[in-house]
Amino acid sequence: MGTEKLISHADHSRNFLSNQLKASWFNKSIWYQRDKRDVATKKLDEWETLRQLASDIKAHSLSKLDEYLIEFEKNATANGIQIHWAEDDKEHNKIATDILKNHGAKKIVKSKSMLSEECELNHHLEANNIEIIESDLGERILQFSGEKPSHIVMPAIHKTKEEIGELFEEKLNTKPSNDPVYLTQAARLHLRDKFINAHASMSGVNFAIAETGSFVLCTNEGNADLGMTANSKLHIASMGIEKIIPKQEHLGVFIRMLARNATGQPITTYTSHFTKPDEGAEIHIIIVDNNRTKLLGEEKFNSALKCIRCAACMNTCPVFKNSGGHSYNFVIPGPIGAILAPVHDIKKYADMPFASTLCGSCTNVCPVKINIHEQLYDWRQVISQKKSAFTFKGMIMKGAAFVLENTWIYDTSGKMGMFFIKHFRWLVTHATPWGEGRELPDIPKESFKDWYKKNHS
Amino acid sequence: MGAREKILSRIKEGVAPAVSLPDMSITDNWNSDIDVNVLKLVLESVGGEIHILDSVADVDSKLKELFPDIKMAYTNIEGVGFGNVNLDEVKMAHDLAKLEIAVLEGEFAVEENGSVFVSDNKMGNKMIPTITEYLVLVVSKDEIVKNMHEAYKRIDLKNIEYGVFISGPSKTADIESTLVFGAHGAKNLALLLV
Repeated sequence: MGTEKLISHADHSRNFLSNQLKASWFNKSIWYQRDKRDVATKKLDEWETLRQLASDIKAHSLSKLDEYLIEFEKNATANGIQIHWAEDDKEHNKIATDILKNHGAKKIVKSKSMLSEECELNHHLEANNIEIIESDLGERILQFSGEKPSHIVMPAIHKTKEEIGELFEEKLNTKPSNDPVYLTQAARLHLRDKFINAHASMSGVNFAIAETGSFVLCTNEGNADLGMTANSKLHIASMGIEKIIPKQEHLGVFIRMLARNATGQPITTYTSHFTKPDEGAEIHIIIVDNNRTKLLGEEKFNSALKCIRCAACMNTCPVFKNSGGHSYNFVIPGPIGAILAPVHDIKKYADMPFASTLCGSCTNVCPVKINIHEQLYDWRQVISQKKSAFTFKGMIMKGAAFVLENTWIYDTSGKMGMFFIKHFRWLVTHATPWGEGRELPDIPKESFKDWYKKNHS
Repeated sequence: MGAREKILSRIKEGVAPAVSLPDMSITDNWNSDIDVNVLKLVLESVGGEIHILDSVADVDSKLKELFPDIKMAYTNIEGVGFGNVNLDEVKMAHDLAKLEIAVLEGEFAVEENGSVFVSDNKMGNKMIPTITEYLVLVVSKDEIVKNMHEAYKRIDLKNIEYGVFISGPSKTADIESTLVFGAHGAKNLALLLV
């Protein structure tokens, strides 16, 4: 990946917040998700025990990942599934393209897969003259508008129904409307035609079970199921190495938590298990590394690989709610994205761990107990050490250390600061980035130290 | 060295701390008596409906009451004479694209989330549960489990090609978080408990 100059999170956020009406609408729709999650999880007395179980199962799986991947490969192969391994995004895309070309497959329906987004698979397939149709409604909307997902569960959450209505008018010849029922029905008819004419289907993997060689997909729309069963004689599923869980009995823990934590539903509408291909059909699974083993070697950060992609951490994040998913430059936004991104390219994604208040809400809602806010802090240490000591922030910090070490300088500079703020208030609020969007409180007549001396000594 | 060997050897160099697998017997504590009312409320909350019948013999008349005028229906439940689709004549997806109703036998229902487990040997054709407009699932009153832990004790994935828990009709909230039923799968779902 290149290290081209990207627009920073702060600048993205400034643009996002410049449309205050839309920013406030977005904030509310994200909080709505968090609210539904709270209601659903509080109905389960055993929620905290489930979190511990989920965390332990995932941590255990990571500690024996090689053994479980080999067991999965053995069992899936015995079931008639073909397994491929890809070191990175390029190899993944090449394997997928080769399989499709070998079958002469030109029209593909795909259900939502963040891994395929990570690998930028669609561009690669299109460059090879293979038509790839996103079948998840949110993803299809973004394919029409040429955008990337801004959220991992609700990819088009940033778009209003008016925007989608206009997009469908242009792409699907719908009549002018912003009615979600009408627009969803239009997409259903449009995509049904794609399903029954597809040559092959593709998907990600939510869980892969070593013991049985099966994989599980969770959707609300039924697009993964219809894609695989309607016309396709060929399915390709892409999975990161971390998707493995040891046994079928462990699924119960994750399936109980995933939808409750994501959208507040007790379970996704479809929880689908695939063990064997149809007679005459083929299922291929591409097991992808793409920097995951690198993360596994990072003692402080490898527990991020426990993530099951429920998105609760972004739904609860005050920064995500007020900056939008597109403000993060990595394919996965929000708190979990900010701790997954640096291992891919620490320079390119250097600002992501700083896009947080470190409030810890992400850690509290995480179903597999990843210490997200602590990792955000730890990534900041790593990134700051890598940067030159002569940055503006570094100099300020050194200056602050000097002032704080000397009582006389501290007292004097405090008094000078108060004098300055009192008499040049306009400069403080208008000429510094700090003043943007903030009000300055009234300046007290004396310092706390002076007041204490007068009243308590 | 191919990608497989490289990935596996890099995993070996990983430093994930050793954690033993937790004892799953704790999940037994969360099992208790079944309350059909809870199942009903949950299923209704996810957009499905539930009808409690005296026996399988009542399924036919219930279906005729629910669907007085239909053109294309499929069922593979013995003793239910409701369907008119012959799968031997179905060659491809186009033939089932206009399927209005499918009546299938579910293996069991799950009280905590209103889902019903359907496995490929009861589907007729694997696309039927999702391609039909209206899905009717018939489950015995004795075949209800408390939660997903109990559900996975009932299944052996090794012996199933394709099996799915279906909880209510297909849905999406991808347009401004507004819940809409009938994304790609069934627009309606009814559970008949017999």
